[in-house]
Amino acid sequence: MRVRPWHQTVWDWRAAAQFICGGTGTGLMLFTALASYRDPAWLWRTGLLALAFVAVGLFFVWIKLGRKLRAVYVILNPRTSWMTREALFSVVYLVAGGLAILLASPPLALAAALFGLGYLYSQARILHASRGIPAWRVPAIVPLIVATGLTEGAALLLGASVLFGGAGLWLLVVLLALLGARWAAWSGYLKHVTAPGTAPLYTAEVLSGVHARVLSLGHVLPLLLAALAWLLPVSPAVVNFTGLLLSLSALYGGWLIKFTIIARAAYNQGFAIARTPARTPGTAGPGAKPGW
Amino acid sequence: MTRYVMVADLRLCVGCQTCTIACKHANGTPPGVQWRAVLDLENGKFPNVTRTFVPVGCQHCAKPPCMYVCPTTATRQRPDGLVTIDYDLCIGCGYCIVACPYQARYKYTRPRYAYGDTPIESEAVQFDPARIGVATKCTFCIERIDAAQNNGLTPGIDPEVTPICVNSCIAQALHFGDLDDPDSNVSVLLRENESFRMHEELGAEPGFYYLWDRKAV
Repeated sequence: MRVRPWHQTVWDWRAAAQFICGGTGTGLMLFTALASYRDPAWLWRTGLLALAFVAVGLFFVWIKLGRKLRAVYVILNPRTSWMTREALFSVVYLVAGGLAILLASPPLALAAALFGLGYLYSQARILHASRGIPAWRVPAIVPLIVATGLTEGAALLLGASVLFGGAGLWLLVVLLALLGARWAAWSGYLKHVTAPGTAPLYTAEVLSGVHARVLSLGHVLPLLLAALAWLLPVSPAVVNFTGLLLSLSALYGGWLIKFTIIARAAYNQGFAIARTPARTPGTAGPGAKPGW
Repeated sequence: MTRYVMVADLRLCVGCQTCTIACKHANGTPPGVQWRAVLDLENGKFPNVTRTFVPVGCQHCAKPPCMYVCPTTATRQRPDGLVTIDYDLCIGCGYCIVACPYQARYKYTRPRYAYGDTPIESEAVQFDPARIGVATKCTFCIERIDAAQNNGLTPGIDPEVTPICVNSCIAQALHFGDLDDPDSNVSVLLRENESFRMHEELGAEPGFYYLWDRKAV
């Protein structure tokens, strides 16, 4: 058996896809609900997509279950399990969101968005409660996962607004603010996880390896595109194109962060001894924690 | 109350893996699944290098992270401290596996045998379809411990009701018993020796103690 930490194998790309889809979907529902107060047509345009994202995410979870036909048992432990809470939030989110679209009701959409936020927060807490994975259990994971979900939702709505007509300048302002929040959350998380003794060396290596891409493509590029489209005198076609690119780059940054954390940096705790034993002849020595 | 724990004397363990084999034999775990394992941990730099053999497995924590995260309540804790899995409730989501800081849990989704697709006789006898697609781990040989209630024997003292890894240990490095009994074998060992628990800083309060030296008198 290995002594150094190794990458967990039980939650793979399917789990990453679930976190990506869940965050994007619930974030999109929030901003769709807000946009629907100005134009209820947004409920059909992107509300359905917001539900689909979460449903697809749940499908990814379902296909990785060892006993798929027992999936309903997931609701049995709301007292302590964030996975149960996530499942319960997903049900009311889908029901409320579906009704909001059918009835073209912005208040119902807002209710769905609130349930979606509960779902998103549960996702973050699922990772935080995973005591066996140092990259997940740090408190800084919670604001990071929430911030990425909200940013992706705003980014996707901005992309849709390019296609369907403007959702308003407010969305761009919100997206830029969220990009700032996500960057702060990512920086704080990275600083914490790469500090000596917080996570295995491999984890720090993997996370540091994507840092440049997260910064350049996921945060700096969207800012530059926003500046290009809204501060310089360019044609509407260029504005639309840069808006789409901005949306995609902001989405890419969040998806890259989550995929990396879940499917690439999830090294387990490994093993350690606090002291080496005093064998005869000999004395006890200092402990060991290989891979840290 | 009763709190069953395991004690491993690191001074005595020689890394022979007899406990590992005994566990596999008794519990019929497939290849790649080691409810009891012994690590070979090298430490130091030449020429001051040491090797320590460290038995590991489910630590039956007092605050088991696996139990808190389990969405189905399949993972539970008995009053005597044993952490159990109800194979009929487990959905195989794997959340407990990533929540365990001791890498003690396993999940396999199809039968595995030592020699290809066909089980040898002992594997065929021990095959349990309930374990496919769910989380599994060391049970502290729970059925042996439960047998103690019927025949008045003491787990950790009488081999019939003691985990098989403890019975098999050629160096008497492994011990099992009731921590809440001040006169039990494990309580005496912990009183007389220096010990630690692995990853204690994570707060799970594992029920697996490692002895590393005698206590100074």
